Amino acid sequence: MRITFILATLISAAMAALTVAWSVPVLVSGQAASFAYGPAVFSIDPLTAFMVVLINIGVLLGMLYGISYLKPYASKSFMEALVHALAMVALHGSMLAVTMVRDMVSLLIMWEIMSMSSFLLVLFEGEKARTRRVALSYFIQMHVGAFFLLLATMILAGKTGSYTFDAMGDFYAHSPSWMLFLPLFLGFGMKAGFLPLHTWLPHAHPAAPSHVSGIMSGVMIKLGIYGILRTILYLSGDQSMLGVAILTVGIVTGLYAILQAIVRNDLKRLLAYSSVENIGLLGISIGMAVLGTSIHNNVIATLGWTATLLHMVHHMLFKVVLFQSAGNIYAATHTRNLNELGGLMKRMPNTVTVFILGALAICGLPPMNGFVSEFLMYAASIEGMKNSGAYFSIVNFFVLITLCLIGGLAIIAFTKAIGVGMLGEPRTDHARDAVERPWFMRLPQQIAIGMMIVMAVLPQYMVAAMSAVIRTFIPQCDAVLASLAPTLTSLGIFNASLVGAVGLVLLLRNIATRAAMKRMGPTWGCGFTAADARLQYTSTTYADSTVQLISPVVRVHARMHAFSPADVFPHARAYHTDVVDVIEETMIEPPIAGIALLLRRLAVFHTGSMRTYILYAFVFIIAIAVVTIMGVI
Amino acid sequence: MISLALILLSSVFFVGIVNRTKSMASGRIGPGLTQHLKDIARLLKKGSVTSTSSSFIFQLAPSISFVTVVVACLFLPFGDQPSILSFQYDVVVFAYLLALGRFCMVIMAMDTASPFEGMGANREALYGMLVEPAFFILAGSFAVLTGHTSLNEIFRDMHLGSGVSYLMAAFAVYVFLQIAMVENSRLPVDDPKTHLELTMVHEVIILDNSGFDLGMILATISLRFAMFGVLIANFALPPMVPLWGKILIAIGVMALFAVVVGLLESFRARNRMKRNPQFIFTLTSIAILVFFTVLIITNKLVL
Repeated sequence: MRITFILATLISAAMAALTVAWSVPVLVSGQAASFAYGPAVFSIDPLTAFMVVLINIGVLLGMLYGISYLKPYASKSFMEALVHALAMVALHGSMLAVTMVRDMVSLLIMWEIMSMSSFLLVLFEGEKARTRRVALSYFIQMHVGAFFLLLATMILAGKTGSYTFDAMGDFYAHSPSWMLFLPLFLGFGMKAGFLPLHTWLPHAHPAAPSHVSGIMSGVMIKLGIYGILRTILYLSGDQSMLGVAILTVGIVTGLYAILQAIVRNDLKRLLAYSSVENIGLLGISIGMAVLGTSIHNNVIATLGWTATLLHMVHHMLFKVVLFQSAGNIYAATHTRNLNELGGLMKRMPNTVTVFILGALAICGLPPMNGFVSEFLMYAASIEGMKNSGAYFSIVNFFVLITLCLIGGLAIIAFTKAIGVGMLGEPRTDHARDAVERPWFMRLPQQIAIGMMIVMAVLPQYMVAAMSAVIRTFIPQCDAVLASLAPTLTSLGIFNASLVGAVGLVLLLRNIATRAAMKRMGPTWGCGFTAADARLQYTSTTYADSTVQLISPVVRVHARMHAFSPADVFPHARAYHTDVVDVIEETMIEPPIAGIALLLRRLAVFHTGSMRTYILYAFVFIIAIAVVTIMGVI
Repeated sequence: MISLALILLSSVFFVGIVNRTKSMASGRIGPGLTQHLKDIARLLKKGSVTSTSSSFIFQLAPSISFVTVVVACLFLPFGDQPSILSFQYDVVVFAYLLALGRFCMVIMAMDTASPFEGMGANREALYGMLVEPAFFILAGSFAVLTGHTSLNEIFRDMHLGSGVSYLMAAFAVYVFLQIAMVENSRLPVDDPKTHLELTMVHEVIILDNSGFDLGMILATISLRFAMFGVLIANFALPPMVPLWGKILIAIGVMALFAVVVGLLESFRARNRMKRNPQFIFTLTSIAILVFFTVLIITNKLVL
């Protein structure tokens, strides 16, 4: 099992080395390099080079983790192991290829390989009925997305007679841009997880093994964003309506998803919704950048694009960290339910500390790297309020409110995950018996945390390294980037000195309390008499006050038997709560149920009897004969 | 530099003035003005009892929370006197520093495993989330008004000219006053003198802290109050007054702020927990009024 996976990792590493070697010169010089293979042209421009680096880091961290994560699955057969390893390499290769191709047909082929291989990866624990169902649903939803891309290809080829991306420029110049942009946005947005196309994400991520969910959430959904970015590159003229539309989708996605994350009790599902939230944030910054470009405000546009690209890298890193830490916790406790966890900080201190650092980053708090990209988003929205007319001021006003609401709600979601799931006392034996994972399993997260810290302290170099990419979106960005550099430098110094200041205060605290008596004792007794650790605040109650505020958006179904007046003496009671995704329940499931019902009705023709099928054939031949004789065809 | 000195000075007396006002309003003589300082000094020397349920987060969080407030103070200017730290868009940093402090205090409370503290932690996170939009709308509005994005430049160039802008400043001061009350967990959102854990927010979070850490938490609260005091005083500094005049004005404003807090706490009851979100939403709506007033003042929105 592991040998095949290690071999796959080596192949992927070789692939990564080769593509990074091609990409780095492009990032440095800004000059695109292309090569043709038969009719297909592969090209590495700065955007592709950026994606190549992002994909390679994410996939390699995931595969490194996979090597030790797969250890308990040694009983899998050789074929299963081989399929898993091959699918991993295929996913890596196809993601790289998606960013390099320059025509719609090659894109569709690579897109399909990407969807198929990730489907096989989700199916890893296919012996579980639930995983099979989720994988199938993922497979179908990905093909709905692919259908939109196919539609876009047909529209493009129908109007311009060409399948190449360059033809998109012609199309946008001569036809209403939404005709092509809408199907492309739907197709790519399905992969990225924009509302209401996000419904595959919260199911597929928890079902997949943790090294795969890290790659899917950190890297693969970014390919959806890449597709949208690539499409935007060919747009021209005034696109302010489009900008506002993307912005609105981003705002709705971000707010809705983080609210869903707050009420989830499954750690990996919470993380999946938080991925959707971050896609919303990316949508907001893309929308702002498009808006800025269309009103010829270089400051807003540059800030927007810088925030978008930086946040893509940042989210890849901290999502890999969070999913892998969640994987460590799952491997140690065999549960992902926050209400069954707790007390892990004393049992798995390294994993939990890394998770907390990742959570700080994903909440956009200083001194981690997530703060830098959220800072730039805030900067773009403040600039937008300041430097444009009333309409854009009000649009950016909504962006500002959304950003701080998402920030505050993310803090609620992640303090819940940490406070309930990892701190305090263990609620069940699963959590009580947890032991720290071996160092090799924690290594990939520590590498990622290291990268995150470097990015938090030296953001100016990150932005300088990406300047060629930003220039492809907004050629006049240099002046803005130059004026932004001192701010970013100060921000980096600020992040570093914040940590330094905390260290100093802790040092002073240790000196001051050296002589003081220190004792350990039980927690304040009233309210926690240690009768049972399940008395602790649970994930459900922690979310409850938020749920009450926003009840129509988030629905919690409670099932219980109410007490009746006859219940004089207490006896055992059961109380269940389920959280549903309102969009899934009201917008996705009813039409699917309708289609399923229709198909079931149509199944009356499917009698299973040979005579009826012969009758169908006979009727068909007669019908053909009749239409031919009547001259219809 | 001056703002930091003023913050330090007023943090010494602020809580004292509030307590003195409260005791005078209820007909008592009350503790001396520096009693609060003596309490903190005594706590800093005392030993501590740490919960066996807790981990190093419990030890770390009070220090982080203290540092976030101290660093946030460094960003505050004093009229046209620059702050110690300043860069573009530092209003965001200011708010996020307070959020970082809140994040750490919340997980610290959860670390003790006490359900009471979980409840308080949850409320703290919720109210903190709800109050942030009001702050950001005000910050954004003043960025639009002055055309600058750092606290330093915003307060340097904030010249209040017409009648409308005085009205706007009055609204803003009111909202900042209430934000200060919410951020510091005072009435009407939270009552620091309540005696039942179920009705506490901030007090229940620090239920298990003792000794040096508790002293540091109390110091953080006074600092944070003084920080909001200087922020509010900044609205009342006319540019033509000499520096010593400004300092006198600021001291007067902050003393007034403390008396107002004391009177509010004497004559107002705490909201029911369920009403708190509504109360905080009201602040956001007033902040939105300020924003639209700014749009009109800057001729962006022509009516």
